[in-house]
Amino acid sequence: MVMWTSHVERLDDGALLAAMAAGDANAATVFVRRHQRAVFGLAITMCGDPRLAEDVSQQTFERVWKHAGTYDARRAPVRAWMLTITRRLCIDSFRTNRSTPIDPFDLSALLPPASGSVEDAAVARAEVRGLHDALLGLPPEQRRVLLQASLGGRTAVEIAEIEQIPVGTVKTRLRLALARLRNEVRPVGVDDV
Amino acid sequence: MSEQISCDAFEAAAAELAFELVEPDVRDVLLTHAAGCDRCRAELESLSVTADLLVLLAPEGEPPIGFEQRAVEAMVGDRRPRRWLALVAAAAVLFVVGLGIGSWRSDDESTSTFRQAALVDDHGTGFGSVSLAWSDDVVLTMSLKGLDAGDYRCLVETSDGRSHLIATWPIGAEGTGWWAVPLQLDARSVRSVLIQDDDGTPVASAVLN
Ligand SMILES: [Zn+2]
Repeated sequence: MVMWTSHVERLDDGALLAAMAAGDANAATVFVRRHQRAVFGLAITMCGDPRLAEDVSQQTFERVWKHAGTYDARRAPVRAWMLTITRRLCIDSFRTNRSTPIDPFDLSALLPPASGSVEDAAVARAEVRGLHDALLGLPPEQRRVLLQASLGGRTAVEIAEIEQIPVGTVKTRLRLALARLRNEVRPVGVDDV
Repeated sequence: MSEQISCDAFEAAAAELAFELVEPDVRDVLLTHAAGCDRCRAELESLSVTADLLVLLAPEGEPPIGFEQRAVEAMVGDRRPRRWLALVAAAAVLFVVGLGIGSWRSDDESTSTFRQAALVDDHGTGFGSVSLAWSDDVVLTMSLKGLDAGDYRCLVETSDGRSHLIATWPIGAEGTGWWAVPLQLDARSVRSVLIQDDDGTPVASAVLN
């Protein structure tokens, strides 16, 4: 078993997904091992609560397993695709669990990922570097709103409450920030690896 | 929801929509507009691609002890045979084709093994890699890049000198694809994997044994 997974670890993320879509349980083990820190990190950042974060993380991998065949490499690197699932699950859990307090989102927790996966690493690193630079180039007030919406999963109304600014201002900042990021960060295709 | 909105109104809400932060009824109105407006649909698509990348900026975190095992069990617990054809239909870039479906058994994994080789043409140009992994099932996995758009055949050559046509797959304009196929062959008999274009012209090959 150990030998097996250590060999399968050489597969890149796309190949692992293909193998998972083909029902390969060993590929699933390698995939979880490779990405669990990223998934749990996003989940705990968004949810705050470790139990909820674990729940969301497990659901993320179940969905990846179920929907591995629908991954579209033209749209996003595997890691971003997977983390988008995590993010949606976190937002769903906020919406159904009204007791979740709307804490001010800790922006200081934002750090570039410490490590990446094997194949996706080159793509993800280039994407992350570009994003990070573009993010730092935004006016601070736009950056705050963008991160509240993205990694905080907060709606404009919620952000307005947290930041003590009008909803219209939040919407404007969010729009300007995302449009500017879009213009500055050219998605790195798999071809560019 | 028959409410009509202008392109300006759509644009004002497009970022929130890209982050999937709008209420369902508002979302319906916005998406109805996008469905009938090429410009706003393209705007939403490009904003969504950027919005979806921001998750990469989240810090990593150490999951609780035992998480890996619990997650894998939740994923593969029932080990049902997969619905191959449905997956093929759903896949845009990633192709999965089944050649007969066996039920999963997890016993005797000690015999499992793995082989990987580069896919190259006659000039040594690389087109990705091929992996053959087997325990109870034999799974051939390919990562392809640098190909022209078109249909490609995948053949496996076995030690008895025979060629087995495994499948034909399309490659889009991006030139990349990932394929995985369970093989109904003895893994130890697999010598090489060949990629041919639709006319049968050799494109690249990988020697596994
Ligand atoms: Zn429009």
